[in-house]
Amino acid sequence: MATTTFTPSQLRGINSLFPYKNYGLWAPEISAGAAGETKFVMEVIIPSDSYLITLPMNSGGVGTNYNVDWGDGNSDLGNTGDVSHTYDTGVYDIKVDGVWAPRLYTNVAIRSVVTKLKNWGKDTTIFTTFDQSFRGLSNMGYEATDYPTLNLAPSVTANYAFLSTPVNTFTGVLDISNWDLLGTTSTMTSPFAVSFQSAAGFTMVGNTINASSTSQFASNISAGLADGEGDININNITWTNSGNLFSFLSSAKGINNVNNWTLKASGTVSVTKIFFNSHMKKGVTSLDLSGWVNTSNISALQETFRNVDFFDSGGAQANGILDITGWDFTNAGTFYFCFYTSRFSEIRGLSGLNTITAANLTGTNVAYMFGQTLHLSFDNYDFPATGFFNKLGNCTNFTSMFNSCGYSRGVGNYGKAPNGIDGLDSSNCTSMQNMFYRARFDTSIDVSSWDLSKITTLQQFMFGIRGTTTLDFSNSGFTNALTTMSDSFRSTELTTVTFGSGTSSNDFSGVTSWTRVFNDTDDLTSLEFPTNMSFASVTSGGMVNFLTDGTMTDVQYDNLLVRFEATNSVNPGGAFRVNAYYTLGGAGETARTALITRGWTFTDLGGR
Amino acid sequence: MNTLEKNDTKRWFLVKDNGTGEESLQVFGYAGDIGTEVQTNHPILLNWLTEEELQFEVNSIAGSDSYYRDAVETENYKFQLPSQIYEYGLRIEQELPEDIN
Repeated sequence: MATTTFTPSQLRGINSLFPYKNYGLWAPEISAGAAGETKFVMEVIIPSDSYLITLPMNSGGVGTNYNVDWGDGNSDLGNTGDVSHTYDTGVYDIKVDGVWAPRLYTNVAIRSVVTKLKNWGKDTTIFTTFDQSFRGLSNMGYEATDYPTLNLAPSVTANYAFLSTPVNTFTGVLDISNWDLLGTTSTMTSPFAVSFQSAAGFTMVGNTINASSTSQFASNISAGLADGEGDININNITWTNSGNLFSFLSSAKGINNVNNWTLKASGTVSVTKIFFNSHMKKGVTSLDLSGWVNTSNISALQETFRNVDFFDSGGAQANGILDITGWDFTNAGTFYFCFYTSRFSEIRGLSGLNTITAANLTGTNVAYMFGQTLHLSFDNYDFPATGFFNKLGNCTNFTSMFNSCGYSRGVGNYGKAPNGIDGLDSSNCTSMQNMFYRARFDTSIDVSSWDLSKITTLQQFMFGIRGTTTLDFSNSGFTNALTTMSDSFRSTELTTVTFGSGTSSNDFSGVTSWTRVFNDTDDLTSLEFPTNMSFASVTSGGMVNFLTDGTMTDVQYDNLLVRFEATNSVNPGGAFRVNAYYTLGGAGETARTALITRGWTFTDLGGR
Repeated sequence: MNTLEKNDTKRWFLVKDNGTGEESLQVFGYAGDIGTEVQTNHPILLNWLTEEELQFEVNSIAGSDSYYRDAVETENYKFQLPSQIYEYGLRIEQELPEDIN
């Protein structure tokens, strides 16, 4: 087998081998890696005699020509494909130079024995692939101080380079700014995902990446550090071709500066889960993305900022700001769980939501959107007056959209209700379950113009909401599709609720449960049902704890009793609890007595 | 018709029919503060000063030492809230879509 040794000068003249890249521009002149070593070096610890390992090459090694010094006195030179070696027990440095395409993950035997990546050999060793090169090397440490010389052809994938290789011995800042990743226009999925979990930081500044997909690029980076630690700076990046930034930094810790990304200029880009479950660097108060360009191409924002966390300079959990000022949501196709459980106290740029395209948002696309944003206020940065809520008419589900929004901000500091919410287009919505569950605002929501003609459930719709005292559903257009109202307005500050005055086109005949709907509504004084109200479908357990603490007028209670007795035929009934008086000798008392004979047990204030 | 009067200080009550076991229980729990009355056509209405006494009787009828607590914590429709000794709805969790947990 012929011996081939590459020198830096030979490498600089390698343009003829790789015509798509001008090597003359970058051929290394700087010093080699650690301890004067010039070749790629990795340490293996061989656990037993006759232990066979293989260095598998991507695509069978086409285009490779490399030398291997096995570190035990043996060498294989001029290799153009996979090469294997049988070791005796011991510790060895494998040294490689030349052009190679390692895909070590393919060899199961090598995964556990590689213990150190000592040197990249940037002056002697060219990687023509980075695809699964060091994936799954479960015991690998990282000591290299130089960087790899990458020559990735446009069609070569660069997926999973270090995926699930924890590299927990590396505690420095991994700076890949000099890594030449721009060659490939194919996929670059998870190159650093679930690796470098003990790294103090990760840096990539000023790069251009041409890969078509860069999902999970650096997910879980520094994930092994304490909360607030880490220092991730990935900024001033141009993604010329990537349509997929899925989970790019999910579960990473120590985000510092990820601003000024230029997304691809045409086509769509998914940022689903891009910051999901990630932590900001302690003391950093803002996730500033205001310098992102071409945001109009973003198509998916599912869980994009879900569970983003902040920490103060002492490392204690804190709140922070999301700045998406200037973002254009023209192509946004979903916000499902977008900000769910994040620690944002304000979101700058919400006004840009007026750029949404109504036809793009359907089904559950805004469900859970601001759910569990316990610290969020809309006081300083609010929704547009029009252009967002009034364009959600194709959405069918608003479940938990503002669930617990502002809940932890404290009395008097909740902030305004969402601007424009009064103009919500709910004409195709079937579920508002938990939509405002325990949401806290200082101003009210007016639902009087909402079209609720397709609603099937309002379960826990406004359970525990603050800021709203009056609700008028007179013109909501309810139909018999509505089946449950349980806990809808429980534990609220409501004083006046109207489901219709006199005869109404609202149809409640399909509702099976009004359980606890006005339980713990201390301030309620007026609760009006239409005089043609129907309780036809209410079950024996459907009036349990219906109205406690607050009350309704005698006339209103009389009407409730009359309409219930007239329209409901359940026998035997269950508990019927209304904290109100009926009129002695009136139609209400007659109806109540009839209901008691049908097995209903009343807890109320009696007659007067 | 059985009535728990508005001024009766024994506010913890149960309503049952003449049968036995859990199925005979119709409603049990708190009757509301003084000023609230309970009226039923079921044959048995019993009331006590304390929730503990009610709990003992309900558990005896249901044949389970944990029935009352279970009823409170799972928001059983037969229980009339509040409870002073158990957290109402403690075991009711908000569900998230399966593909998002």
